[in-house]
Amino acid sequence: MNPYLPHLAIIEDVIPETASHDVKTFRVAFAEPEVRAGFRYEPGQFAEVSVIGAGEAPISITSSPTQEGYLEFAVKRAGVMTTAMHHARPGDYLGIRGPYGNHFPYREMEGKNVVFIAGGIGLAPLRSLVTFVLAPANRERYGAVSIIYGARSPGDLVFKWELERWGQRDDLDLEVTVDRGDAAWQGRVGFVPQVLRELAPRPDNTVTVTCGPPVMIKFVLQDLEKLGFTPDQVITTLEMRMKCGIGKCGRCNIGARYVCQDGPVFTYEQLQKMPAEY
Amino acid sequence: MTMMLLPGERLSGLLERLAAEARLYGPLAVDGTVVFEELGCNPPTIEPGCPAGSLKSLLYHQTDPVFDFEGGYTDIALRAAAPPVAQVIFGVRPCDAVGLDRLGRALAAEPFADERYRQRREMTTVLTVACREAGPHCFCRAMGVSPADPRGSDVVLYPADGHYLLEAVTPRGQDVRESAGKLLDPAGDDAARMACRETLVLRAAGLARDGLAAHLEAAFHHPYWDELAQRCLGCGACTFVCPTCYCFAMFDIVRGTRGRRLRGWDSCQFKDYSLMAGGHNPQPTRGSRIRRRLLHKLSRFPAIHGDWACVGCGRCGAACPVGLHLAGVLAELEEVLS
Repeated sequence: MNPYLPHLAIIEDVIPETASHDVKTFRVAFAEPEVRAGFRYEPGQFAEVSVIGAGEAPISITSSPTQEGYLEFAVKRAGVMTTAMHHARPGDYLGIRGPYGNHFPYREMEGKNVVFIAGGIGLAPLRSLVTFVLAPANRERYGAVSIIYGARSPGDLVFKWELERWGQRDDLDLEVTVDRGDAAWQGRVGFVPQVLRELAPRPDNTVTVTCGPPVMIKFVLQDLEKLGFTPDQVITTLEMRMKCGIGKCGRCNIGARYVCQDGPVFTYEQLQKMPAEY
Repeated sequence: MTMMLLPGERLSGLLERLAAEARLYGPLAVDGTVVFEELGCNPPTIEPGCPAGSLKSLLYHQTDPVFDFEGGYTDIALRAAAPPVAQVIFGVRPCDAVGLDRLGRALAAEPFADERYRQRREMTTVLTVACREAGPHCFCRAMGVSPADPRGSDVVLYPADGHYLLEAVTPRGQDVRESAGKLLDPAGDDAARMACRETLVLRAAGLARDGLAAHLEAAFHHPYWDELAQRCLGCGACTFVCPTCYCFAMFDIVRGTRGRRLRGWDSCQFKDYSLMAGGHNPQPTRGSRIRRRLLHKLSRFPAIHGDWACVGCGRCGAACPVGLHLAGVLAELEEVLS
């Protein structure tokens, strides 16, 4: 088996997320029924996504294994491959191989309250776990669930359609904030760490799962510590440049750990023991 | 394992037999530089030390097809690259053969074994010529590799006056010995092997390795890395000639409605190697990239794969335009970290 040979998948839907359309969600289904049936993944894993002819990039799977028959990837237009992907339309082919990496420790999190803290496109990898936890078959295994999500502006919020659905649930506390509002914005204005400090979740029997821009993560970690969270209660997922996704190409290691295999999900406790090169 | 004797004048006969069954490669002087090439009828060039280019280029090609594709966005077919063909490589040095073991630990590691490397490794017969004399850049002994090291070889030939002592190390090596048939005579003693085991490797002297990995990790923030960066040009030559460096990139080449995805050697010494599309770079300075490479070879790779990602061949020093030699860096580290 050639481990770099992707399976073909057909784009079923493309959803522009942000006002500038620099983030789009792609819903895809494998072309071959046996691949579609056999592809199993866990919340927090990623796949290597190809635009055949343009290249390949590691993208977190933003859908949840509880959603059967398709995969979703939310992709920000940033480089060559993601720009080509943004030109793709429903009916076009992508190549997909995976799933790769570890996953969020959803079994160990059972019985606990979960606080999700995300910024910008950082909501994409967390959304897989949010959907998984909120699924009817799983919801009762977890305590209170809250989500703090922020973006630079209302137009930069991703998954607005999903946020609306989450906001209507009474078993979930959703706080959406923006750094700068606009004339139409009725919601919160303020940085994610400010909202976190204000809401001040209690650390007892609680895990936090966070992903976002480095500056947000930096302050969120500081504030969580002040709120009494210990490093093992803080879970994050890392981004790193990769080519292979399977521990061969040599580029994503932090110390002796490969982000593609030992990660991308790490606790803050693990990160503190790793050299400062991420 | 029984030792056999190959008289020097019968070497060409052995090479002819090998070439009849597979593509035969060996060290050849091309414009004065010794590199691994298809031998044809040329006699191999065996000089002290190792060829300028490492053995890895024959098993882990500089660019290698991953798959071919044809079609457009809405109708595309993928075809895996054709499997590799059998090859025999004569005149490998022990350090390079051990290097294959290190490459294999990374590339053939489960659960996602690099099938192409593994197939090519299985299709390759390695005939090593042990070293009676070290080259000017050799420091193999410092990295736990001996001038008579049989690891990674199918056959080891120990040179002596007018003949080679031939040892078949693997079942594949025994096949070579059998196909050599009457070209081989019984060996009276194994003096040539003993002599290779004693070969002096001057550059390895005094390079203490005890606790090196821990020392290096503790020196993560040491200014020495930036000091090295002032000398280093960032050209990446050390990574390309290294028999154990295996970093690669993948990229697509398109011609009309057809194309090919290729895997090509990459180098951790380049700024865009770890640069992410969003602009973040975990290795933003030359010093951080040099540190990353040396820590990988001497600390992280050993932690993951159980041995050094350096076999002491010294090519990094031979190829470096400013004379940075890993043996020299190791010696300096002793000084800097003590």
